Amino acid sequence: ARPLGRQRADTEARQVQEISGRDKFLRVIEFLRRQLHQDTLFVYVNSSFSPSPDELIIDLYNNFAIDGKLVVNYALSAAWG
Amino acid sequence: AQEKKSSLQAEAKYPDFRGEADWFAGRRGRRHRRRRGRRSPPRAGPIRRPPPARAMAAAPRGEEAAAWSEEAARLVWGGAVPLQVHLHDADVTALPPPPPFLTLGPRVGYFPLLVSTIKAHFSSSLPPGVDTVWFEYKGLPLKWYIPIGVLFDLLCADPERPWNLTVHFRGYPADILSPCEGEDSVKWNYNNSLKEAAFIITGNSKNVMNMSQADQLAMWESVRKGDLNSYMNISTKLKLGPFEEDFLVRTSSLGSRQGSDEPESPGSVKPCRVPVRLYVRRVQEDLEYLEDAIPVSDWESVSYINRPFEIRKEEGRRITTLEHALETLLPEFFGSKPTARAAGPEPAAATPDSAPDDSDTTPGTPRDREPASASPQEMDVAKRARVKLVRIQGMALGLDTPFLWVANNLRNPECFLHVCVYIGA
Repeated sequence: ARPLGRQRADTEARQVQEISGRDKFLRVIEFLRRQLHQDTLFVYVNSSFSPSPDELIIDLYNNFAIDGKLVVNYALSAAWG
Repeated sequence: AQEKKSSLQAEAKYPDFRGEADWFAGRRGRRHRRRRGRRSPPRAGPIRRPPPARAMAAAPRGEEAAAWSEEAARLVWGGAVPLQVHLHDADVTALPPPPPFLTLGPRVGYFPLLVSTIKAHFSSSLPPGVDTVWFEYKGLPLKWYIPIGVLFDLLCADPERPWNLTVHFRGYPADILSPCEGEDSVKWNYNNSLKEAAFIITGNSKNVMNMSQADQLAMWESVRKGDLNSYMNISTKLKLGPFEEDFLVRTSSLGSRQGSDEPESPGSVKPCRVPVRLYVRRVQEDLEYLEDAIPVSDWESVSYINRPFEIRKEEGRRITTLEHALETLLPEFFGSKPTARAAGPEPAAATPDSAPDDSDTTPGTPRDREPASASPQEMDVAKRARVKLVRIQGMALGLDTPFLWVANNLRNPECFLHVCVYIGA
């Protein structure tokens, strides 16, 4: 399945959400679930792997951010492995 | 009695983990007191202070090194924690209550993988309905994706053999534990951890993602069954190690954009990053005997840190020691970089004040550095005095052990090195 990671930047105002580094990745997963109204969601980093929900945002950012951004992808079914 | 007999027979197949671990750790030539390989449960002794860092001769190369590595792998994969699993009282529906179940939990294995045998043992006592299985130690629900050996090293300060755990079949604590659908969840977690480790080491997960489906399945099966030989057959293809002291790792040529016809395409060369998962547990500052450590009652009191170690060449340092790696990974606890201070030496009795949560650091801590007392070094020693224990694969390694040897030989099958640290606070 193709990941649905695109936001319609041209028609919607870009929303900036803040998250603390001390928070867990679970918060990102839950946020996306709420926004997309989906119970089942597969969330990845850098189109590569799905971190454990208990991982700290700051660790993921330090380890995997590119150009100051941590890229998170999501899909309704398992996209990668 | 039937189960007990079969699990004791199972135990006979495994090496005496504790005895071999002691030999294995002692082989590194630590000078301080070795824990003797007793048959009876060891008495907790005073916490050994790690010896001062000292330069180590270069590790032997060639055949001897390869033989040691192979032996280390067998001990790590063969290591197991003896478990005594009690059924939670509220889940007992038949009297008399069933006896606890004795089994071995592979160090590199996971608790959900033991559920089928445990459930078979307790089946006649369970209430009807849907089971949601979880494990608990002294009231703390166990995170199912953390390897069994790591949980044991972290939660059992004074190793308890057998380790007494409670299994629950109802009332899954969803506020504390992420959901687990049995083996599938563990397999998903394993595959993603492996991809994550690959990303850390090589800069992308392509080598894992490009594995054939047969290889992927075979690799998971080898982990599930604890079959080291099958695992080695497949994992060597991934080229995720061994790490070398020339601080470079060559990525596999799968990472390059176009297929190359050159006989040897080296791929790209990057600084070497070692995937590490650290678990920092707070114990009493004045803790002397491990058996007195307050048990972990809440996961909030354990700091989980996922931080890779990057090998860098540094002046005057030939071999990266475990101590140096920990100083880099956990500067708040090990710290070696002096904090910025005003010029000029400060009096020896000055209380270090820049460590944020130090209250009663003792200026009188015996020092193994030069007598001239600069405050930053005094503070480092005070910081290091707070480190009560560093445990990897069940062993309190000497801090002068070469770090790359540790990373290459003591890591788990998903290519992460798990390190438990006890801090007095």
